Amino acid sequence: MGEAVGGFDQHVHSGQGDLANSKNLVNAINVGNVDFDDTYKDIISVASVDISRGPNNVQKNKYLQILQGITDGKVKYENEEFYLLPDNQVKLKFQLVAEGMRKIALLWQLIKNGTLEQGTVLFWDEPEANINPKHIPALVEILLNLQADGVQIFIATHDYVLAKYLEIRTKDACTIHFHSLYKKEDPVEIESNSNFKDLANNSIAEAFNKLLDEVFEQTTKG
Amino acid sequence: MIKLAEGIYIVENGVYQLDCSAALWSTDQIHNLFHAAGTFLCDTDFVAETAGFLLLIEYKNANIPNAANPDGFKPFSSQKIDNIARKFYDSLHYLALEAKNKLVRHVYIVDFPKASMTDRKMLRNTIADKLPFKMQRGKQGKLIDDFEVLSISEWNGHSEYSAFPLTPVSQGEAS
Repeated sequence: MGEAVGGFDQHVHSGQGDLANSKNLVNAINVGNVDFDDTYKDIISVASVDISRGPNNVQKNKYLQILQGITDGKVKYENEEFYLLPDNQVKLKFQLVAEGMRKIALLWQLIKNGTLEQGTVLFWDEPEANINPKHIPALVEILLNLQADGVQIFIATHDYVLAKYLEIRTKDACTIHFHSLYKKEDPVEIESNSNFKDLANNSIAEAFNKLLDEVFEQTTKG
Repeated sequence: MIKLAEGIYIVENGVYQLDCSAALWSTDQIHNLFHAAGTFLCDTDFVAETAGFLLLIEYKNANIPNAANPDGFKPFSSQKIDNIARKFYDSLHYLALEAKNKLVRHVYIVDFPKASMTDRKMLRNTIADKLPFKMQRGKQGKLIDDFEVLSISEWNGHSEYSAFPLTPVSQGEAS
């Protein structure tokens, strides 16, 4: 998903598990004690930029308010560890926070500290993973707004709810392309369309349709 | 709705026409009968009879430029769902009066912005829960044989229903 906006300064790969165990991880990678993909190191580094006490501009606020509504808290980086600060509760180490919430909290932190802004690129593998489906509409709203504000976004998904919300909530200012990668014979084929519904090779929709047909069979035939 | 040649009907908004000329019998007169009699019954738009079954057809197209209240069309609203089901039940009275007693199939042809096949299947399943499928289990009679929710394109490509094509009205016919 996403249309080129040009002038990319940073590339952000969103991974949620790495922040939970980030303490000393960057140092360990640097001295060669552990072997991690550089993207993990990069994301810990950018997320570690802590300006959480600073004022937010209007643009940031519109995102942060929505994200805080999902996580019920803000992110705090302290002594090389990430915490979630829920309202009226003690701070929680990231290891103790549900994985889906850590993912949302990471997005909060990247917006808050200015990592995700105009001219940057966000790569996000399966945003829907470990997230309560009821939060998907809010998440989609944020992604579309980020895109409209000049962040180029690439998403990989297997989720009908996420894809459909992206399709129906797309605003005129946003351009979305849905790409379906599928195996016909040996090489992987690609089909692209600006509408999710119009993808002919759509394994997500096919899986849903199969389930719906089975439900219908039970309703009508018993 | 305007009636053209026998069995050809101009549907809602005058943009499309349904050609039931290949049917053994067809009508768009349920509404007029119910209305003239002062009943509170609801009606499906068309009936087409084949050798094997009677087809109750309901049509809604919120995709055309002059669609009636396209933004207000909420296909999944409980009011709309109930309304589609009620039209089926009430139209059975008309079929009884016409002494039609073949198996009855119900088709809802609907197009709306960004609708996918998955959306239509969801809609079908939701409406099917309100139709008499469960009620007729174990009974000798059958009020409904099948129900489908189709786009115009799916209708026109259907193995049986394509005999009654739903196509844009040509300029001359529309005037």
